[in-house]
Amino acid sequence: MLSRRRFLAAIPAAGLAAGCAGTRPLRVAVVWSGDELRRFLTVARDYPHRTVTVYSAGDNIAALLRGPSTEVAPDVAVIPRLGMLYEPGIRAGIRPLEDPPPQPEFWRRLVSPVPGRVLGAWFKIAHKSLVWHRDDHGLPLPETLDAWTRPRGTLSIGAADGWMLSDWFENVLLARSPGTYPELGSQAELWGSAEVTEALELLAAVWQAGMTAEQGRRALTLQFHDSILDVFTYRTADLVAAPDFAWPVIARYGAAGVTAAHFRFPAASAAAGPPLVVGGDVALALNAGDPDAAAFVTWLTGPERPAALEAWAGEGGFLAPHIPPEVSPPGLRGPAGELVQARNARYDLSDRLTGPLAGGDGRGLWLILTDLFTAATVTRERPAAAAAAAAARLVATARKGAA
Amino acid sequence: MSEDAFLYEVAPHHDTRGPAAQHGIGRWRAARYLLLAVLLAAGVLLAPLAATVLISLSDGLGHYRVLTDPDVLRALGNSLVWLGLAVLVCAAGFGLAWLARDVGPRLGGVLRVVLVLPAVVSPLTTGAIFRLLFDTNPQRGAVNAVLAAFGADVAFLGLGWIWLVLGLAFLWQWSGVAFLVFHEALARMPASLLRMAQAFGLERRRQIWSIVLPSLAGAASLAYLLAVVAAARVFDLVLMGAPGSMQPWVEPGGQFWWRHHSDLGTGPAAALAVLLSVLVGLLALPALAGLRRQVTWPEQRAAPHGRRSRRRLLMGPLAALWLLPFVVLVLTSLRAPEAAAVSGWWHIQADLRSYGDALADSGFTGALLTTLVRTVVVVALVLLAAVPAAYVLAQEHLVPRRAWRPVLLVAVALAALPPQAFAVPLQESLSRLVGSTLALVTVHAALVIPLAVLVLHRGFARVRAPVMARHRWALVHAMREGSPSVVLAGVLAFVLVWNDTLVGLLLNWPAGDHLPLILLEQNRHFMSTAGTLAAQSVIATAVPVALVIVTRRLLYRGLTGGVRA
Repeated sequence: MLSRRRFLAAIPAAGLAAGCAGTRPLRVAVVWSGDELRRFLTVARDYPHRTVTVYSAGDNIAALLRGPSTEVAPDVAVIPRLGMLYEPGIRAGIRPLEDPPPQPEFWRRLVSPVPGRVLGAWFKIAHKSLVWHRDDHGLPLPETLDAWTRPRGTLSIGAADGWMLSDWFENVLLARSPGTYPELGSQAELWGSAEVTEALELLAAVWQAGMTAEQGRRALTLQFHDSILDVFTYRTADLVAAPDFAWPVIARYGAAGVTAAHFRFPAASAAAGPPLVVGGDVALALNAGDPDAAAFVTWLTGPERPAALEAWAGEGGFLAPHIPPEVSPPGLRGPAGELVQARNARYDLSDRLTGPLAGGDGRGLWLILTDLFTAATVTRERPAAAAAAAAARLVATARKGAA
Repeated sequence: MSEDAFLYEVAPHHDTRGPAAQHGIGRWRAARYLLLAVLLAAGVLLAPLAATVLISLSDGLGHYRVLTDPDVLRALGNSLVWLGLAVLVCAAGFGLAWLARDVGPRLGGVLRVVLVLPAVVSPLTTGAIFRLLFDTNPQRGAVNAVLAAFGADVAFLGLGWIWLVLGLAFLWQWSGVAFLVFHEALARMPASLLRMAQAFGLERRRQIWSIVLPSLAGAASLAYLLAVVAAARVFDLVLMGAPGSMQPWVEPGGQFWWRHHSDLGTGPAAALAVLLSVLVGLLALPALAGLRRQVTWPEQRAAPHGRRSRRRLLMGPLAALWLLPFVVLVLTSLRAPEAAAVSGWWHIQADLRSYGDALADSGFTGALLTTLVRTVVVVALVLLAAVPAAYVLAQEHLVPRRAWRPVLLVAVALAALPPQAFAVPLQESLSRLVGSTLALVTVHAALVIPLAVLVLHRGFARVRAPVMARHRWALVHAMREGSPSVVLAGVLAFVLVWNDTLVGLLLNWPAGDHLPLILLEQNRHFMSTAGTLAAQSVIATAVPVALVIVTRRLLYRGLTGGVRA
């Protein structure tokens, strides 16, 4: 028995180049893969006090936080959806930060579901209200959302990733109905309100004006990165609404000689201000984990600023409240400043939702918006009809959760 | 008359030699031998299954109103399409076997390996390969690049067409298994009967109806059963092969259940899980009925024909076509990561940076090792439980022939049972253990044991009784003589655990240390990680492929005879 236990205990350590003899490495669960994961690994490697092992838990991260066996429980988790902090089963497992790093008030409030208890600290924040284009495309840019319902160049939309569609929806809704946006959640009634239906209709109209049926059909097979490539590598489209972290994708895969430019997601009218939807990843220390976890969170998110993190920010695609905007490449300093100074910004709606409306491939808000997208672009339904159908499904789905 | 049935025959043996240790072991010892397998099967599969059934009935039949939900119906409709594809797999396997029936031993041997190899590839990898082949962008997708030359442009991964892509992937993956079954059956066709029929001038149609078809019934049932089980387990192929937006259009009931079971509520989710199991059971019934009929191949493999068919000319290129997906994967992995993201695999490069990236990812290398160790532990546990159990079940004085039939039914049913049917109660009972190595190893072992028992039983049942053996050593003797079956069971267990995505996801296994889940993570940005994903898939695929190639002779013996030559 003993030998087997010892053997099993050896397994996780075997592949991970376990460092300092005696103490086990600090386990950090993240959701990224690919480039972002590689970048994060270089950051974690620099942690001076302990060896850190990082693993991607992907979409399973919520389950990981709901309480698995201690053998695999992470000490620190970096979560992509703020909604998780509001889930009682997860919140109970989080150790509040006793000495949280200084972060702007707006951001601090978001991670304090119970006043006075800071549950986590922002590791990475994102500006989700940008529209990107080639600097030289020479088309008139849409000044307002209504102007965008008339053709303003071909849109590129990564409709295979539901979060790209929900970012669109959030921007349109926030631009048109800044009062309704923060109230929306799991209550069914609000989803049936006229504001939501009108936003869906406007959204469908913009999508319909921006692409042909064939382009819509193709868009359903494109992910976020593919949609960026269509504008900056293959030049088959003109505009792509995407967060600030489109920057490194353009830098890495864009065709030679292409310069990227962006503008703020258009306002509802000339009088109103443009919407600002924000998102981000929160670093948490977990109760079940090592007591040193909080120190790691503070190191990661505090003013100490690991050098690798600053290098990452310098290359673009990484914004954080504790990193001054000047560190970012010139093109991203504006959005970075807007985030740090944010007061009336709104946090990504789909990352706040819980229950049946919560996101994920093929479910919830994502699924309903995918079908709206299909109706607007591929089958060319009237925007009003498509929006009414989508609103009815939103209400029905929200009710499922209430029942 | 030597019986040499394929994989496992259900028909009783008329073998005068009798199985090993006929005078056999006592009941107490037999019970001890069965203990581990029964405990694992009962604790991990049967008890949670019973709990699922009870939960689904907790409101009378009320929870079964889940069938009125249009989304559920769509998913069940997709399940039926996938099960229809299972029939297509059998047809394709038979067609291939018919074409290859007299290509000679060498090409036949090559085909057996080449066509069966896809079956040991993770469906995640299969999905990735076909997604690369059919990418919508003609700069990256080979099929669209060819079509572009004719001015056509099809969004293959999109609405409607996605079925074609995934259907082809499914056919590629499983047709080889059906091929193997039919190829063997055709080679054992009762040639003397056919010659006699010809001599008596029986018309060709009568020959087919009265000789060919009956002698193929057993093989067809087996091929169908394997394909139905594969179709019922479709999961990771969709997760990797279809863009997120398209998954609801193609995902079968089991995958829908995985995504929505917490939204459906405990009762309706349990009802849906029961329905899915019943659906698989109903569709597997014809196969069981077919297998129950006496299937004997009274002749040894027919000696190879003197003349070689011109079909050789066809089968050679076909084997090459079957290897194409492997070629696509390897060529993609040999491209620079940036190049692989923006252009197709036919721009050949020899750049090892994708491998460099793959191996620099400590999560991947760690998972590679952890998964390997864990898989080996599961294989050991499976054999530890299944070998003694199968040995006891092969004892005729303990399990008489008529009693074997229900045992077989239970074993087949458990081997085919969708894990959704017992996942929730199991997860609840394991809640403190979820994520622990012990839990995953136990669950995996329990899932594979029924299949292993089936394979091993067949081998042990035909081990010849040693003249002088003392029963203490009979088990060792049976293992040695039946070593091909033991190897077959071990390799099957290895491949199933190595490639598993479903159980890991259902048990909320953290992605951190299980190889397929690491690969799955890459589909968040499928095209831009194509190079790294391909390199990681090549490494992940090389292990089971190497295992199969190294053990291929024993595996073949295990599949056809079960005992040493």
